[in-house]
Amino acid sequence: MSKRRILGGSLVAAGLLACGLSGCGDANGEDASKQAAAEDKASLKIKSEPIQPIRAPEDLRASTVELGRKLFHDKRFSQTGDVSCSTCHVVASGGVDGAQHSKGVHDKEGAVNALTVLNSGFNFALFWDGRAATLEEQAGGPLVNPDEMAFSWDAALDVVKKDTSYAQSFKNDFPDGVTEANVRKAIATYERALVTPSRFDKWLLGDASAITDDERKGYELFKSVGCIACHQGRNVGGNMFQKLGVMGDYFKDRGNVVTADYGRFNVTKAEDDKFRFRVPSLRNVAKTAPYFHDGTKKTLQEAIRTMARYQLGRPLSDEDVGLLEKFLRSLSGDLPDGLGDPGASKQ
Amino acid sequence: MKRLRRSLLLLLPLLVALVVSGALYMGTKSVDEQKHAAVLRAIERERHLDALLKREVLAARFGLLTQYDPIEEAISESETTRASIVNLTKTPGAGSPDLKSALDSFAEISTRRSDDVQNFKSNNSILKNSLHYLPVAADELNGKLTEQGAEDLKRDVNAVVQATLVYNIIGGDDRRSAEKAKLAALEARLPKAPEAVRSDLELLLAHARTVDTQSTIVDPLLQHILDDDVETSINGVEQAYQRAHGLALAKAARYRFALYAWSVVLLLGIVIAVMKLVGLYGNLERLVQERTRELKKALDALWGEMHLAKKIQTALVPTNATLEACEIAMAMKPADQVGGDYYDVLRVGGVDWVLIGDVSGHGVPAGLVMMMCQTAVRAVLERDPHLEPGELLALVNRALTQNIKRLGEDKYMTLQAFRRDKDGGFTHAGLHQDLFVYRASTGKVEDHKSNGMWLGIIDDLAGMFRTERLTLDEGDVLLLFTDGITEAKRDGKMLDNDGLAKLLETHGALSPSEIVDRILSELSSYETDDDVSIVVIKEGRSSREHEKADARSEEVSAKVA
Repeated sequence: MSKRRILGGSLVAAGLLACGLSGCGDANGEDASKQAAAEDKASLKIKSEPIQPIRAPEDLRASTVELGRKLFHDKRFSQTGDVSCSTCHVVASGGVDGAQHSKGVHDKEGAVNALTVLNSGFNFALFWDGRAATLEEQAGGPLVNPDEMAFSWDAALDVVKKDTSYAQSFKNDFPDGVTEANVRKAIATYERALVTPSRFDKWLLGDASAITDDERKGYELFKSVGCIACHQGRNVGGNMFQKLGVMGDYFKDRGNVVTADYGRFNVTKAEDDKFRFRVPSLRNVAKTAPYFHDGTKKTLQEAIRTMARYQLGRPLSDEDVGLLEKFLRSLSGDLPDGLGDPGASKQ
Repeated sequence: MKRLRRSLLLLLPLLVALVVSGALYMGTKSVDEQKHAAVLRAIERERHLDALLKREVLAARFGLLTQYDPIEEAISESETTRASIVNLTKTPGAGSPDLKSALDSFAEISTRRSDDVQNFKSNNSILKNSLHYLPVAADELNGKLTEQGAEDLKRDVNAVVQATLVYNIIGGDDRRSAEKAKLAALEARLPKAPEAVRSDLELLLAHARTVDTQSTIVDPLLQHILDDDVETSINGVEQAYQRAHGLALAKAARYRFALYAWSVVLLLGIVIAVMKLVGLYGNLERLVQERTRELKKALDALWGEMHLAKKIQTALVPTNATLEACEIAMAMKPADQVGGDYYDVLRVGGVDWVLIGDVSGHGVPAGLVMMMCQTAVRAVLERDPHLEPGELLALVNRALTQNIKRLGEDKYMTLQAFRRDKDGGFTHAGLHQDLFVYRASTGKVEDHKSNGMWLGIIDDLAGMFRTERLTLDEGDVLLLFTDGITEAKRDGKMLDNDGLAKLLETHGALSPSEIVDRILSELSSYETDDDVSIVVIKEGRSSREHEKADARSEEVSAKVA
């Protein structure tokens, strides 16, 4: 095997790609107005940034989103009748419940920290170990998990069928009415609507004043110290797996290794996947403490320092940590109107 | 029931023809061109996505792509495209076991590619981080080494950075050996390095080792992704699909051929059916013609017989005759069918007789009865020409009644008998039409009612007829007729007795033959479906002679009574 061969065979492609990335093939440029030119400039900037802006999806059926919202917040889908999806994923609070390990029925504790449901539609896989490929696949997991909602699909469908408002909504939105697949679809549709564009997205889209200088410096640092190697793309993460403890043994230092710590390995049983987790999205990270799959880091700064040590393998000054934190806070966005807890919005 | 069975028998071949045609037609439609185009598009898309994915992975390795979303998008789209190919080729006819195994193998290779890409992304990120940080760490370390005056160590640090970066970019076993040698040299100096820089040096060494390790992981992965057999696998899918499609096309072509052949068979069937129908029709026509001819023959024979019967009827009645001292004229116009009119004028044993009557109904039976009547009258009179008219009628009735009974026909007839008296006038009896007598002296017509009984109903009519005497003066006219004249209609109105009486009154002065002509000519404007018989007698003697005759007639009447 020779790198020369890889290089030689790929230089043309790489050149073309570089051209594509820098936008030299864009058709819009030449006879465009000043505004269009400004837009082009912004779009060029977006293209070259490793983080991409997000927008609220426009192709979702509003009635299905609403149906999913109701299902998401309905506690009847648990064995004890007091746990809903929103028990652990509080959409108004960053999509999490703030607990190290969320509690399901009978106060049973989960093995890992709950991931945020916000912007989850942009993730390439769901759960820390990536065991679900789509939101539809994910949506059924907690419902039947004995430590979470401990329910059954038969019972859940029964609840839906007996509720006339649900039955009507399903009839309207799905030709085959109430089915497990349609319940999953409705919940996933609602979750896809939970998109929270932030100030940073505005900056990416060309609004230079959308973020402060410190936040911008934090972003530069984020790229230069190497966070960006994993936290990139539109969801600032969520599009790859990475080992926790690349430059240091996180688990040895933490101690008490449990099954959940094996991460992706639990799904693939591949030795390489041991301690690998789906890289979490950093959007709304300021609201999703505590951090990591084990929920052991209570503050953002703690989390940043831990990442610098075990992932980047480099020391960070307090100033750098501060700037990075500021940048990360600029990734917080607001939940679009009418997507919160329907019970809460009535009050 | 029989008709239902026949209908079913006719419907069955029609149904079979329809079902076979339908099945063959569906067979020709087993290839969906739209689906075919969609499958080809999807296969081409897979090829494009594979190329795109490889390009993006390569770009990510060399820092030209700074995020993995495009890679994930390509993988995700490839998966949906593959699923769509599986879906599109699920229908029978579109796929084959061959294609299924090609798709399965493609799915397997795609999964492997996806796993490789995931591995690549993880390891490439680690590599990138260390590659990026190595020169930064070296700069920081070098600054500190300068402060410590450890210039030689600085050289070794720079040598490690350079060898590592060179190996990372250019690769090759000798460059890796060189890099490893530099790394080992620097590691060997670590224990003797100044305390102040030791941790920095360790950090640098850690990242250099990471680059070294990650290079040996990332590049083979990259090579593996670039050299994977996804493209071969896509080609395999395309070939298997094209083979399946070719087979489906051939099958459809076979169905089409079968459909054409079937159409020809159907067409032949129709032609044969039409020919048979035409033959059947020809036979039918011939049969109808034959039957028509036979019928015509039978009808002709029948009509011949009818004609004969009519001829007999008209031949039996006289067309001219003479009466002593009288002028007489007569005529019979038979209807289309054989009728039952009867009259006769005969002289037997020196006595002149005139008879007129009508058999009920028409047709051969009526004609027969009329003939019987004529024969009976002549037979009876031959034996005894001097009979009283009433006696004659009673005798004739006996013969007739018996014969009609034998015939089983419900017939009867009217009959009036007139015997010419030697001294002029007539002695007469019998029930028939009224007698019209034109009196030459007054120019008026008298209406004399007839009386008696119908013949042919009761066996014995002896004594049932009253004999009457009719005196006529010279020039007086006696008109005898049948109901064919009085019941003739014009504009829905019958001529009636009055009409006839008027005619006689008008033409009474003419000769009998002229009177007959005038009456018949008047009748020509009337419609009748009955026989028309008329007898006109004009007296040639004077009344003086009558008186003598009257006396004799009274003697006769007493004798009869």
